[in-house]
Amino acid sequence: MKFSVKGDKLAEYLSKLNSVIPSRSPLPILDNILFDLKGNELKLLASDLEIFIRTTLEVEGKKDGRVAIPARRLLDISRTLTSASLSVEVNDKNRITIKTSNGKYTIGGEPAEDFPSPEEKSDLHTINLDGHTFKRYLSKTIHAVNTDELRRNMSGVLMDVNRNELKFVATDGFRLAKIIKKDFKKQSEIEEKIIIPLKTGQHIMKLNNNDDSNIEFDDIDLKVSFSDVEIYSKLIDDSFPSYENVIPKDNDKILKVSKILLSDSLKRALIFADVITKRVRLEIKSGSMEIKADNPEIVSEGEETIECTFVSNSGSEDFDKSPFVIAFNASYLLDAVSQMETEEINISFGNSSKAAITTPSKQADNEDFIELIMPVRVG
Amino acid sequence: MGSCIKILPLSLSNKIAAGEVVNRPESVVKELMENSIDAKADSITVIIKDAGKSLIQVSDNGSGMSEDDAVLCFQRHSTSKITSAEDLDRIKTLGFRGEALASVASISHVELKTKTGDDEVGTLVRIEGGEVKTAEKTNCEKGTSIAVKNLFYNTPGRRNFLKSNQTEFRHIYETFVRIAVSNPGIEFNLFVNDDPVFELKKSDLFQRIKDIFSDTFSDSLIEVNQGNEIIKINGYISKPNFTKKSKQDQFFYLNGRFFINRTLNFAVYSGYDDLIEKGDYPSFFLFIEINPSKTDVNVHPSKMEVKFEDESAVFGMLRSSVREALKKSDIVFNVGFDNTIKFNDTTESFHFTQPGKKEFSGHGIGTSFSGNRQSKSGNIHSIFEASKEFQEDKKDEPIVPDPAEPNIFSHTKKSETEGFNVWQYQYKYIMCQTETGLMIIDQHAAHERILYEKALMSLNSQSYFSQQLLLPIKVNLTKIDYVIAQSLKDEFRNLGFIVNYLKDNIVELSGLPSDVKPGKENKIFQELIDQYKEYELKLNLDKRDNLAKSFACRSAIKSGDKLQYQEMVGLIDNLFSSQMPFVCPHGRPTVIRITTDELDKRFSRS
Repeated sequence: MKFSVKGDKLAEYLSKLNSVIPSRSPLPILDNILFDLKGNELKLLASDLEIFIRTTLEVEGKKDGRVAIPARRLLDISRTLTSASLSVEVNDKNRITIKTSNGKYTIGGEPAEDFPSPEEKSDLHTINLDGHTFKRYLSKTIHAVNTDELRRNMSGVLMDVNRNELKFVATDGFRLAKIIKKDFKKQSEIEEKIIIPLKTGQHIMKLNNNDDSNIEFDDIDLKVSFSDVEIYSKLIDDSFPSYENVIPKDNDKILKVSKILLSDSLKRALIFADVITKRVRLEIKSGSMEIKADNPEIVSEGEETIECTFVSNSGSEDFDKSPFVIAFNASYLLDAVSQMETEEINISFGNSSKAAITTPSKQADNEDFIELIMPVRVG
Repeated sequence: MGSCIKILPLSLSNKIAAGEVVNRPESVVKELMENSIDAKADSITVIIKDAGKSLIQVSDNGSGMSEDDAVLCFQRHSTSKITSAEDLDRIKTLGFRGEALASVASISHVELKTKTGDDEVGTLVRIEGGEVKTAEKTNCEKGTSIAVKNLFYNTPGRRNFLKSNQTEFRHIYETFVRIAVSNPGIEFNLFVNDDPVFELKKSDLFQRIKDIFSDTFSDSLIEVNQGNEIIKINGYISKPNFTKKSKQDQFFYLNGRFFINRTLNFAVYSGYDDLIEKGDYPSFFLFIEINPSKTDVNVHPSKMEVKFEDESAVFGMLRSSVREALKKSDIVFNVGFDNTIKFNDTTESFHFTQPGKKEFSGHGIGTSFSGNRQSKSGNIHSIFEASKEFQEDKKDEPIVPDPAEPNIFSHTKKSETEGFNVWQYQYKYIMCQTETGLMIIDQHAAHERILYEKALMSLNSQSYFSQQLLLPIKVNLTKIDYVIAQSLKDEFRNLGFIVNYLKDNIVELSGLPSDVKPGKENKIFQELIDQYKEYELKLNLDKRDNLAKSFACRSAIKSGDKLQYQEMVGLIDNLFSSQMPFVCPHGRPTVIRITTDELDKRFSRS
C-alpha cells in the first residue's frame, strides 16, 4: 500500500474515528484503524466490536492495499504535521513508513485480516431522513436516555417509524422526551420500532453535520450512512416500555414562563440544593413562581421568584391563597427546559405527585415535542 | 430429715421435657406434619390461628389409629416407628423418639380424631394438660386430625417468651415450606386465620418449588444430580447471577429430613468457585441420601442437626456435584469489559498504622455523646420541613472519639476539603488532601452513615420525599416478605418508597427515595427486606432503627461504584455534617487520616 495525503486532512478523518476506539480493550487489534486503499479512495475503519465507524477520503493513491495501523500514534503524528504532505508506504511485513520532506517515521502495523469487519446485510429496511431532522430528533431526546446498564430497554432512543409519523422517544423512568414529526411520509410499507443505543446515538450526533442520512435496519442491526461516514451498530434487542399510557392527558394547570428566567433560576438553585437529590421546590401563585432549594446538612439555602402566568387552570382555585406546590429533581427540570427553543415555555401540572409536561409555547411546524418529568412527592 | 430428692411426677417431667421438644408453635406444626407423613398420608392440611397460639390443626388422610393406640400415643416414649435399639440405625421415618405427642399434650388442649381404614367408626380423644378427659367413638374420615389449642396455657413462662405473631408465623411458614419442598408427592394446604396461604397440588420437586416460590425463581435453578453407591445428591441450585445477600432459601435434606449444617453450606459455596462474590449467597434445595447407619440424627430432639460418619466425604461430594451442575448448565454470566480489566488488587501493601483506630476501639458502645459535633443550628428548620422534630436518639449510637483525648480529627473542618484534590482509589476509597494530611474515606461506610441518619430522621419525622416513577416497578415477593412489607407500610413511605400492595405477593413501587441510585430499585427493595429479617433475628433492634440500618446498608453506594467529582465532594460534605461522621452505623470507621507528620516520619524526614 502506498499513498500520499496532507497531514491535516488525515488528522481530520482519524479524529472522526477516535471516539469509537476503546481506551482499554481486551482485544489489542481494536487499538488500530484499518486502512483500505483502492485507487484514490482510502477507507478507514475503527470499532469497539459493538459499533463500527467507517469514513472515506480522497488521497493520492499509488498502490492498493490493506493494513491495520495503531491509531493513537498515527493521530498524534498527523496532528503535528498539519501542513506537511505525508507519503505513507507499507511493506509486506506490515511496517508503515511515513515520510515528509524532512522526516521519516516508522510504525509497526498489524495484518488487515486480523481486524474485525462489520456484517454487511442486504435485506434491510431503509428510510431516508433529511440532515436537519435526524440530528435534531436525536438531540431532543437523547438526554433522557437511561444511563445505568440494568434497564436495557430504556438505554437507547426509540425510533418509531409509523404510517405517517416519525417518533423519537427516550426515558429513564423519571422523565420522558418525545418528539413527533407529523409530515413524515414513509417510502415503503414498513412500520418498525427500533431502539438506538445511547453510544451509537452519541456518535451519530457528533459526526453528523446536518447531513442527509440513509438509515438501514432490521431487528438486530443498524447502519447509518451520511456524507463520507458509515456507522454500523447493534440495536437494543428489547422492547421499549409502553409509555403512552403514562403521559397524563388531564393536566389542567398550564403555566407560561420565560425559558431563560426559569433555566437561570434553576441553575442557581442547583448550587444550593443537595448535590445528590438536587431537589427544588416550586411554589406557584397566580402571577409568580417561587423556586427554593436547600441543603440543611451544610446550611445552604436559596430562593428566588420569577414571573409566570396561567394560560389555563380548572378555574376554581385561588393560587394566591393556596399556592400550588410541587418539587422536582432540578436537573431533570433544567434538562427539559433547556431543550425548548421558544422564548417562553409552557409547563402543565395535574397535582403534585403527577407528571409535569413541558412544551415550547409554540411548536415548530409539523412537530410535536414534549417532555415529561415526574415530581418528587413531599409528604 | 426426710429425703430431699424426689422423682418428679410424670405430668411435671413431661411439662419440662416439653420445653425441649416444643419451644414454640412451630415445633408443634413440625411434629404433627411429620407424623402425618410417617402415617403415609398424601394430603395434609394445616390450619393456624393467631400464629398457632390459639389453634394449630393438622389433618391427614393417612393410616389413622385404632382406639387403643389413640390413647396410648400420648404416653411418653410411645411410638409406632421403632421397636428395638437396632431400629435406630435403620430409621426411615421422620419421627421416632416418641416424645412429641406426649409433650404437646402436656402443655395444651388437644383434640384427636382418628380412624383406620379397617374400622367402621373412629375415635375422639380429648386431653388437657396431659390428662385424658374423654375417649369416645365418633364419626370421621380415614386418617388423623389433631387440633392443638391454647398452647402453653399451663406454662406461662414459656408463653411469655413467645415472639410477635408475625415472628411466630414466620417460623411456622418456614417449617411448612421445608416439609412441603421435601414431599412434593403429598398435597399440602395451609390456612392462616381462615385464609388460604398455600394450596399445593401433588407434583414433582421442580413444580413444587415453583408453586411455593415463583416462576422467576424457579427459572433461575439448575438441576443437581450425582451420586455413587454410598451418597446420592440431587435437587436444585440457583444460577450464580441469581444470588441473594442473605442466607435464605437454603435447604438441605438428609434422607428427606431438613437439617442445618454450616460446613456443608460452605461446601456448596465453594462449588461455585469464583462465580459468586463474597457476601452473595446462592439458593439451593439439595437432597442427600445416605444409608441411615452412616449418620446420626438423634443429636437433639428438634433433629435439625445431623452427624455424619464421614463428613469430609459428604463435603467433597457436595462440592463436586455443585461444580458439575454449574459446568453442565449454560450460565450466561455477563462480565463486561470494564469488570475484566479492573485494577487488580496490588500485592504491595501499605502498612500505615491507622491513627484513628485507637480512639475507636477504646470505647464501648453506649459511650454518651458529648461535643465534637458541628453546630447544626438552622439545619432543623428546612424549607421542606423535612426535619421537623428530629429526636436525637443517642443511646444506640456507637463508639465516639473522646473529645478529651487528642483527636486526630479535631482539625477536620468541612472547609478543609473545599477546593482540594479529591480522587477515588480503586472505586472504593476517597482520598482527600487536607491542610494537615491525607484523609481516606471508605465510600460505602460513609454513605451508610449519611443515609442512616437521614433515614432515621425521616422515619421519625413523619414526612417524606419520594421521587415518583413514570413506570412503576413490580417486585415479586414471597408470602412472608409480603407480610413483612405490609407491616412496614408507613415506614417505607417515610423513607420514600411508595409501595402499592397488589395480589399474589406482588408489590408495585411507584415512588423511590430520591437518594437511591437509580437502576437497582427492585433489588434494593428485596435486599432491604432480607436485611431487615436478618437484623431482626440477630440484633433485636427497634423497628425503625432496624429499617434505617437496613436501608442504609442496602442502598449505600458500594465499593466498586465509580463516583464523579461532584458526588465525592457531596459525600464528604454530607458526612461531616452528620451527627457521627467517623463511624458507620455498625461501628466501623468511615475515615482514617494520615498526617503529614506521620508521612514525614515514615520517609525519615525530620
